[in-house]
Amino acid sequence: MVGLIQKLFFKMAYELGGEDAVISIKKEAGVPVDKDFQINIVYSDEEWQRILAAGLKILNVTPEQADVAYADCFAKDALERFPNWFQMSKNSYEFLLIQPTIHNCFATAVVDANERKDINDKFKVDKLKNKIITHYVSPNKLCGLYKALAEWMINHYKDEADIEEVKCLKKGDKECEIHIQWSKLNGQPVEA
Amino acid sequence: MDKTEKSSPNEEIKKEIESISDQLCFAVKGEFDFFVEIHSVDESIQKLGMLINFVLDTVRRSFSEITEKNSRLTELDKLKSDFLANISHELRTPLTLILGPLESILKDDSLSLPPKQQENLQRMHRNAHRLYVLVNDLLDFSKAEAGKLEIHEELIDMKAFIAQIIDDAQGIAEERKLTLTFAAKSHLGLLLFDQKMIEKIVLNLISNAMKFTPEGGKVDVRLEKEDNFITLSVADTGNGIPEADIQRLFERFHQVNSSQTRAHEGTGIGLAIIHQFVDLMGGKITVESKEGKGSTFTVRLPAREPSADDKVNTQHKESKQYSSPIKTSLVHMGKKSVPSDQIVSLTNERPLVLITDDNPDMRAYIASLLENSYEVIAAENGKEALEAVYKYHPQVILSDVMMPVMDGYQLTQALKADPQTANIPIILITAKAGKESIVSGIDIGADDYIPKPFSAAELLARVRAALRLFQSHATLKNANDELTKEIEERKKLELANAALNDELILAARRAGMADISTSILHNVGNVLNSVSVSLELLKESMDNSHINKLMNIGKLFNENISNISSYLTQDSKGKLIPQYLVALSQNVEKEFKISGEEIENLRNYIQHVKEIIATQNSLSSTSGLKENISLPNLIETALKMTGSTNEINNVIINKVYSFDKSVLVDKSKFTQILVNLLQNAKESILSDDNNHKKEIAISIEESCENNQFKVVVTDTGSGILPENITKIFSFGFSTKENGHGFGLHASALAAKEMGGQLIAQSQGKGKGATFILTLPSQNNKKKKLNSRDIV
Ligand code: HEM
Repeated sequence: MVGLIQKLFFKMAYELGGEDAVISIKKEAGVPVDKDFQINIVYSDEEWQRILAAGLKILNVTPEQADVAYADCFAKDALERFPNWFQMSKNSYEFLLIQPTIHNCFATAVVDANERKDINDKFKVDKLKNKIITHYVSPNKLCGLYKALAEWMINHYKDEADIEEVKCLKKGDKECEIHIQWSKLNGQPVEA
Repeated sequence: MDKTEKSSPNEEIKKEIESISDQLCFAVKGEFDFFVEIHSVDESIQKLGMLINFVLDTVRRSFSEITEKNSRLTELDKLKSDFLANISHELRTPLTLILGPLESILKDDSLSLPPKQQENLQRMHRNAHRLYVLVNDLLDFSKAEAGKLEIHEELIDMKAFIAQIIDDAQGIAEERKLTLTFAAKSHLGLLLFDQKMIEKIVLNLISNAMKFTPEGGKVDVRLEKEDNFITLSVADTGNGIPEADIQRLFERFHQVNSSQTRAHEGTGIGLAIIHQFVDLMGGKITVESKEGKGSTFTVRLPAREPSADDKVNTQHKESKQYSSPIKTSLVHMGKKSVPSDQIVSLTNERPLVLITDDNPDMRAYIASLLENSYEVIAAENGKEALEAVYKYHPQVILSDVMMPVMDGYQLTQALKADPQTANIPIILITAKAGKESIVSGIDIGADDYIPKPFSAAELLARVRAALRLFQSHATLKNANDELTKEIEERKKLELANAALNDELILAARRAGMADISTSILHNVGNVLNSVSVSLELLKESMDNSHINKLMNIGKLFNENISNISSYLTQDSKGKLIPQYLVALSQNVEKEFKISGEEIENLRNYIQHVKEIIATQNSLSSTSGLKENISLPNLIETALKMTGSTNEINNVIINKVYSFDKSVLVDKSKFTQILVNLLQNAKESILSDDNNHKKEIAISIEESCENNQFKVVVTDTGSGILPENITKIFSFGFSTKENGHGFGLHASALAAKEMGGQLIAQSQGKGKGATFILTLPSQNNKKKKLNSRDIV
């Protein structure tokens, strides 16, 4: 998992529970207390899963609450850090279409071809008229985060859309399949 | 980076940027197989590094994709070249075996072949030879591609050699009405060149120049020697080459694709081969061209004079030996086997076929196949063909696709775009037999397609089919023309009818109006009479008023005011007063009742007059406004309008309303009809003096047929003669002395307009009549009127 994720997770933990929470999570997750995460380095997925589990426990939040809170913290940071990606897209539909490429961008720093492929292949988006179908495969099973982030983007651009997950890794499917159907884009109603 | 070293953040960033730049230096080698490593803890630098890596990765991937595609293409290209080389090689053997025997037959004078056979054999020979040249071109080309082309130098007198080629081409230039000139420096001496290559270069350049130069133009060939180079230039006053094409002119397979300059049946490798030859000889070929003005091709070759070591072929002087193949190569493009001036003496007896092909042999061959059954004319290109089409109106066109000036596709498009020529079937003949070319031909409107090679029988069958198509088009067109004429005439007639119809409807309406106005005025008069009667009655009742009586009693009371009680009990007169007052008050009450009734009558009469006027107003409009109306009420109104409420003039009105629902009808029309019917009924009864039974029966019935109701008006009047029963609704027909014959006509018309009908029944004269008005009780669609409905 690229360090940006962990970095921002600890930022959120700090905002919610202060330095103590951060330290407790690291301890609970077996991560050295002085370890910092860099935005351009890939860390183990397994470590991330420990951090997330510890975070839920220490912060005493449900996975759903964590997804929403984390999506908000993450997206705000992305908006500041990569403003051009937001400006390049006229609406949330366009943004979610380039989301896999944005993720691939983080993967290119990974020298090992297999490792890179793992990151690259997490998302695949089918483009339909006013609709996308996202196929997501990852050991981290973060489809909840995907939906929370997608919702954040839809609200950010003041669009309207329905999000429906028709297949889910957590339910034993081979992939998560998330359908997003827009009903309003750029302030205009659009046909389904 | 050495972590122990303490440096300011700025310096650290600077170092990091230097490090990134250094790493990026690898890119100058054109290799992108590296990543930029970032050691900085600065997140902006990390972000930059990540994005640089992303760009590098994208470039790397694109590069590898391109390289992979390239190597696949090169491989394919090699396969193609090998294939070309093999096939050309294979083709040479059978061609040689065709050419050899043909040549011996043609040379054998003892054979004395009939002229037609002789001509056919010559054509075969010319074209087999041409094929041989083309195959050789291909072979040379594939050899050059594979780097296997070798130069065989010989000593040549360039000036004499080229002069010989030009000489050979003069005949063709003349035929094409071109001026072909050659100028060379007086002495060039013997030089070392690959003679075959030179021959091919010159031949190719002059034949191209002649192909693309229109009649009356010039082709100038010059040869110069300067220092150690010879310069050969071929300048023409032809169509020129579009700027965009000049760049790619020497690319293999590239043919200038403009209609003005489109190559004949070339392989598209001619210029590419000579380019290869020139390259191989260490020279250069250039071209200058201006569209519409002409082109100049210049070949500059290093001229090598022989040294003592050079083994040279000294047969150079016998340049005659080359003239034969040169002539054969050139001849195909110049000769007009079927010139267009042959067509002046056309007879109209046989169908006319136009052949369009830039190859004279092909023209002649196709003509020879067709001339037994058809008149044949020929054109060299699409433009000429188009002119011939307008001039001679052929029934079938056979056209090659690839032609200079205007190709077969353009010809087809031009013909199909003009309705005058769109019906002439066009059959495209082409060497391109791929599905794509058929589709594009058919797409632009060609009627049929014959791929080369074709058999004589196939060509004849297709021409016959096309002719049938043309003939059926022509028959259809004639029939169509006649139909159009007839339709137009009918339209005119219909227009006239419609105008008449409109006039009649208007007249009928006006007539109806006039009729109804008469009846209305009549009724208004009746009402006014009634008003006078009522007023008279009122006045009378006023005159006999009991007020005087009351006043008298008042007076008596006054006189006996002092002893009023004894007066009322004891006086003989006074005793009567209370009884008298009771009776008087009863009478006053009665009178008041009568006056009240008369006033009510008056109010009704005035209301009737108002309604009559309102009806008049509504009838003057033609709008079919429908209202939900109670039928009995409407009949009552009509009765009042005709002044025949219950009984007037001793005519009894009998009403049976078995259907008293409200219906949606056009109130004004309905009233118009009813008033008319009642008026007629009344007049009919009153006109018959012998009539003892004076009765009008009105009934409203629900019709069993879907959603209809009937209003039946039966009178005991004079009746209708059987011969008149059918005419009664006709425009202008009347049995009444003063009738205009519009009333019933207008009523019938109104009934039709309301979606219903009005019919009359009568047992004959003196037997009374029944009129039945049937109308839809729902909001039925308005019936459209036509002339038949109202006459
Ligand atoms: C500018 C915007 C964004 C940036 C910079 C960004 C960046 C990242 C990065 C660096 C990762 C870690 C990738 C890995 O190691 O596999 C990640 C993961 C993820 N991102 Fe984004 N992302 C952005 C937008 C979004 C959006 C819009 C969505 C969803 C709609 C999304 C959904 C996810 C999910 C679900 C993961 C977890 C993937 C996994 O490990 O299974 N991201 N993102």
